[in-house]
Amino acid sequence: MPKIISKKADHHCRRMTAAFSEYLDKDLRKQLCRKLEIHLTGCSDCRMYFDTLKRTVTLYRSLEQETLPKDTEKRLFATIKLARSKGKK
Amino acid sequence: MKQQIDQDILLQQARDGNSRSFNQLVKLHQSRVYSVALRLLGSQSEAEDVLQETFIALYQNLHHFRGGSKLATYLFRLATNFSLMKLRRSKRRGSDSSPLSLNVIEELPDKAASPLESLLSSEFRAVLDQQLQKLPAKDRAVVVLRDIEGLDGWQVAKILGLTLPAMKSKLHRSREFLRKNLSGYLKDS
Ligand SMILES: [Zn+2]
Repeated sequence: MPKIISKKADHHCRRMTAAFSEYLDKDLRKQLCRKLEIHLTGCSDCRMYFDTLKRTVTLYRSLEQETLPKDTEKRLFATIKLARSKGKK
Repeated sequence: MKQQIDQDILLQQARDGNSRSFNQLVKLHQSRVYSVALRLLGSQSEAEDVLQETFIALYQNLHHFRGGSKLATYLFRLATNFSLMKLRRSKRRGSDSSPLSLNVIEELPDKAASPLESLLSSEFRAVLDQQLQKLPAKDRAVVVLRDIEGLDGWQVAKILGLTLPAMKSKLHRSREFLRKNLSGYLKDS
C-alpha cells in the first residue's frame, strides 16, 4: 500500500492497488483497466507501488528451475526400481 | 506439439509395462517436481522425499491417469499436496492463519547492481527464495505455481482446492508481502 497518501485519496488508492495483481496478469476487465491506467497517470504513489509490484513479480517469474542433484536422481530411480519389483511380486 | 505426442506415446508404453518409457517420463518432469517441492519445503532432503513419493504415486496410478496433456499438472498437484501435507505435519513454518509479518531483509547483498542485472547471481536468487519461505504454506504455493512455474490461475486454484477469487486474493497478498520485503532492491534501479 502506498505509504504517503492523503486520507481522502487513501480509500480510492486502496481499491486500485487491490486490482494491480489482476492488471499484471491481464485478468482485469477492460473498463477497469482503463480506470486503473488513468489513476496511475495521476497518482505517483500508486505508480511507485505498481512499479515495484511489477518488478517483484518479474523477478519471481524469472527464477529458474532448480536442477536435480545427481545423487538425488540416482536414489529416485533406485526407489522406482524397488517399487517396480514389489509390484511384480 | 511433437513433445506432447511423444509424451502420450511414452505414457501408453509405460501403462503397457515398459519401464524404459516410464523412466523417460520421469526424466522429463523430475526437475520440475523437485523444484516445486524444494521451494515449498525449503529443504533438500524433504524435497527429495516428495520427489520420490510423487513418482511412486504416478507409477501406482498410471492406469487411472488419463489425458497425457495434463501430466505436468497432475504431477504439480501430487508434488504440491505431498509438500503441504509434510508442512502440516511438521508445522515448522506456522499455520496458514498466521498473520503476515513484514520482515526486513536481514542481510542485504550488494545493492550496487540493479536487481535485474544481478538476477543470475545465486546470492540474489537466495534472497528471493528466503523471502518466499516467510510466506504461509498455501500462499507460498500460490506464488510458486502461478509466478515461478507459470501455471494458469484456474489451474493453481484447482490444485490447491481454492476458488479462483480466493486464489487471486492470496496471490495479491503474497506478492504484496514479497514486494514489501524486497523493496530495498526495487528502488533506484
Ligand atoms: Zn493512488
